[in-house]
Amino acid sequence: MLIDYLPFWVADYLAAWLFLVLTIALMGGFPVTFTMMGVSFLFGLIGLSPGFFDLLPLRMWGVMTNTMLMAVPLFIFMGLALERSGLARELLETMEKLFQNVRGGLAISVVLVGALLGASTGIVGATVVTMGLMSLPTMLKHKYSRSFASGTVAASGTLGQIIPPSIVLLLLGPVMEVPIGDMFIGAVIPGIILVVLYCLFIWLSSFFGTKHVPAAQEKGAEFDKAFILRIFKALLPPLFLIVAVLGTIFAGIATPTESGAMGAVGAVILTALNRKLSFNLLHEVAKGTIKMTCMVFIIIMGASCFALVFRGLGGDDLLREFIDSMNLSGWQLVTMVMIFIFILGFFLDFIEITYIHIPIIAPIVIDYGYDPLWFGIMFAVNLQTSFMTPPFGPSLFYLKGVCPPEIKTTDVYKGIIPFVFLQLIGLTIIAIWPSLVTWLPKIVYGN
Amino acid sequence: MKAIKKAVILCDKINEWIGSFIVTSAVFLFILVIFSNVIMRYVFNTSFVFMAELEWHVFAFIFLMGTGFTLLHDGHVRVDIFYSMMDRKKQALINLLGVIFLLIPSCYVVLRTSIPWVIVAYKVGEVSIDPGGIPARFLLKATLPIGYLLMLIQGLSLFIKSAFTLLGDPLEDS
Amino acid sequence: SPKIKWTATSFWNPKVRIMFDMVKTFCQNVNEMTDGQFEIKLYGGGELVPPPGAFDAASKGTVQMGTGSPYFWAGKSTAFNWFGSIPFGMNAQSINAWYYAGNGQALMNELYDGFDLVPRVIGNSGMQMGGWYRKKINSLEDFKGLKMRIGSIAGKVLSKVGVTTVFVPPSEIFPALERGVVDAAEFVGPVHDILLGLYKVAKYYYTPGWHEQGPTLDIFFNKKAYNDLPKHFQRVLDIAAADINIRTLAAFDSQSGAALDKLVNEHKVDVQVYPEDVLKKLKTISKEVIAEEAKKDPFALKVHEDYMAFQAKTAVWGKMSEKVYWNTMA
Ligand code: NA
Ligand code: NA
Repeated sequence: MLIDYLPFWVADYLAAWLFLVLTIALMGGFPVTFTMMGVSFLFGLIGLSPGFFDLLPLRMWGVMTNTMLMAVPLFIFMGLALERSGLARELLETMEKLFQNVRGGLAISVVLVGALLGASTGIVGATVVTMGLMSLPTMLKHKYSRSFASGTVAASGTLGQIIPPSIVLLLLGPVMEVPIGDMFIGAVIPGIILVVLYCLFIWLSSFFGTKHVPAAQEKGAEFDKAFILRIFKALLPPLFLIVAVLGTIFAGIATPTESGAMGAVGAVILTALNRKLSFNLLHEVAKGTIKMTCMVFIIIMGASCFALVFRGLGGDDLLREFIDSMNLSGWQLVTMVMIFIFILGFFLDFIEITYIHIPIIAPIVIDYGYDPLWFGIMFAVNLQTSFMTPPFGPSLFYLKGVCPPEIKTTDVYKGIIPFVFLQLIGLTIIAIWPSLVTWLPKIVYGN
Repeated sequence: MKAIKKAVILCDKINEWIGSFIVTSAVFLFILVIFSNVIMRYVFNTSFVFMAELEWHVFAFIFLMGTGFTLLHDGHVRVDIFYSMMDRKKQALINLLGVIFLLIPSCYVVLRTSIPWVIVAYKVGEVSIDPGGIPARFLLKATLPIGYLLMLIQGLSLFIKSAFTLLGDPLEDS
Repeated sequence: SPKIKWTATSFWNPKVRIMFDMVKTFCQNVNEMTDGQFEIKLYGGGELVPPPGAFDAASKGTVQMGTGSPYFWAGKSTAFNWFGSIPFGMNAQSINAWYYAGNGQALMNELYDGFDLVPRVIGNSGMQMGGWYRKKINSLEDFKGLKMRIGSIAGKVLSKVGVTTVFVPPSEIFPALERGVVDAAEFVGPVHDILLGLYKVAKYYYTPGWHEQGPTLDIFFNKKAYNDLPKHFQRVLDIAAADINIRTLAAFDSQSGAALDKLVNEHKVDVQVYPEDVLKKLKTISKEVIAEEAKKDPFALKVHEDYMAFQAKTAVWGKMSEKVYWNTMA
């Protein structure tokens, strides 16, 4: 085999070289899935017998039959339908009116709407874009600074990443071997902590950072009958979807996977009630669903090829030996892993990290005696943070794509930094008090 | 030259049609099947093994058959830190090299290994383990090579388009 | 360095107690019995290929060995069911008699040979439990409209008494049972069920496991790889498998009692026996369903007839020995 002709520092560490070469090759910008497969194939030819690739269809078949992932397209469909139906816009406009009397009220309403949209769907891209289009101009009009406004929108739009239902949690559950129900429930309190931290920060900024947050608000809406009715009407759709999804799980009508279909049908019903339902809209939503679903699953397929070759070359043992040789204490290990993931999140997609790195890292952390659920949620919050960390946060890119022209990339970067710190504070809180994650699932499932 | 352009249009049309017609139908079927399984079970206390299995059959069908369509619309994730800063010609070069060195080998490996695997499933007459489940498992298995074939087709289209862009005669104009 | 290096992939992942450990011990034993001349690198389910891929991988020869349980491969031929477990079939003791002293092994060889595999029995989990229920089963009526997570032939049997079988992915069994999406779920036996924590969400634990009264675990070698081995290495594999077969059953027999005791006394699980008329009816239906299943494939029919004849023979002795003994002991 080719490997016999290589010097030992390549041959003995082939798995590590695969990882390194892949990381560099990904930077080229060709679609991730082909880069992963192509590079893995090359290394497989060097270090494995060609027959080894006969295992590839078996692995891919495992993805095709993984019933735990079936909910992904359902939630994507639901999110897209909600966005196209214009219901998200109505909710936002109403909330803005509702909070006009509070200091920093408009920004706080953006956070709450982000959380609500996050609780009904979880498609970060869709949420950031929707809110960027609608609330950014309003915030600027109300004299919020460009950086503060864009930071608030980007961070709030990313909340859907951690607030259940979320695709990250959905993908992470099977990988961590934690029931998806536990993941969803476990993420509730951490999600609320982040929302509270955001709101607190905005409120305090209205006292101390008045050049970013206007202290004086314009006169707010009258709380007359018509306005209360409007609030009620605007809140109804997201509440309806929350009931359709979480409600059917709790009432014992549907499994978590099936609840996605309940949500998808619910979103179509809402669209119809909003008189936006048309063949065209459904067709567009379905096409969007296909693109996002294929994007996710083709990466998983590519990752399965990478994982096969990485395992075949003994990469797991190599990494384990490396970490063992450092003789880390539990806390050092967790900290190191968190920093590692945070950095990876700068340039890799969460799906790649979930499928390439977590299966390797998680068993080691769990071997140290940490709760997989807790670690899973830590991981999700960490990834959410890195989703919005400059210079390479996807949320920042989504937002930049729809910003008014006067907002520069540097504005977005500056504005997001305080929120990244808030995220890290949140992460530290969860790290210190793991029961914030594990307590609620225990209550709900009576552990 | 015209023949090449026609080939590109054909590749694009195949995947556009499959994506926007067949796979979108599958998306609605997928939602309907799961939804009706829940309703059947909860309201009518019945279930069919066939319908339960249909859920993941359609699911696999969607993400494999729609993948060429996604490539056509450049929907597959790229790490675009540098890619987004490049001009069109540099991007075309990346795509040209990517198709040759990454996409074609990828699709080749999958086709080369999965076609015999599908044939074995066909010869054995593999079915579901559960009585009443969906027979002819080779059909579902066949969506794997078909999906990668569709990506290969779309890759060829991308290759030609990139080559034309590099030559200073982008195809989009015609 | 070893003369022979094999790669193996198991259906079981390293977290599955007893099953995975036993296969690991098998590999170690083979290594030591051959003075380090025969090394088997074992991968758990999902590490190299997903669990069910073990069969295809060994069949193709990409790996030389795989393990699982015969009924996992029933999609390839329904005949595999008889080598794993069929409802109201033989218990561990009888099925071992069929393998080692009856035609079991020969028939198994014939079946696996069609897939280029050489099979051996490597374990038996013994009598399993009937499942976790949120409601009591007092009569056949109680099965009507009952939603249960149970698959395979047993699922078909139960669907004939009005059970709605529900597919639930393993990771969702717990929430599904907890919220009442399903009223009952079948898993394995006390040793494994206690880990899943189903006692938190379902109070009644029914016995017996009429559908799995002694499921066999199998190990299979790629035919070419096996035939290429020196004769004494082939015997090492055969004998190491037989040794683990005994040890697996012993592990289950020694741990199940303790686990059940813990479930009853610590977790306050209510262990219930299916009413006699329920079991009788299930038995009648099972016989019909199995006979139907056997007709699907000539080889399955051949296995079915041999199996049934052997079961009848051992029953004569069992009724006069084990049954009388346990009745006295109870
Ligand atoms: Na969410
Ligand atoms: Na980032």
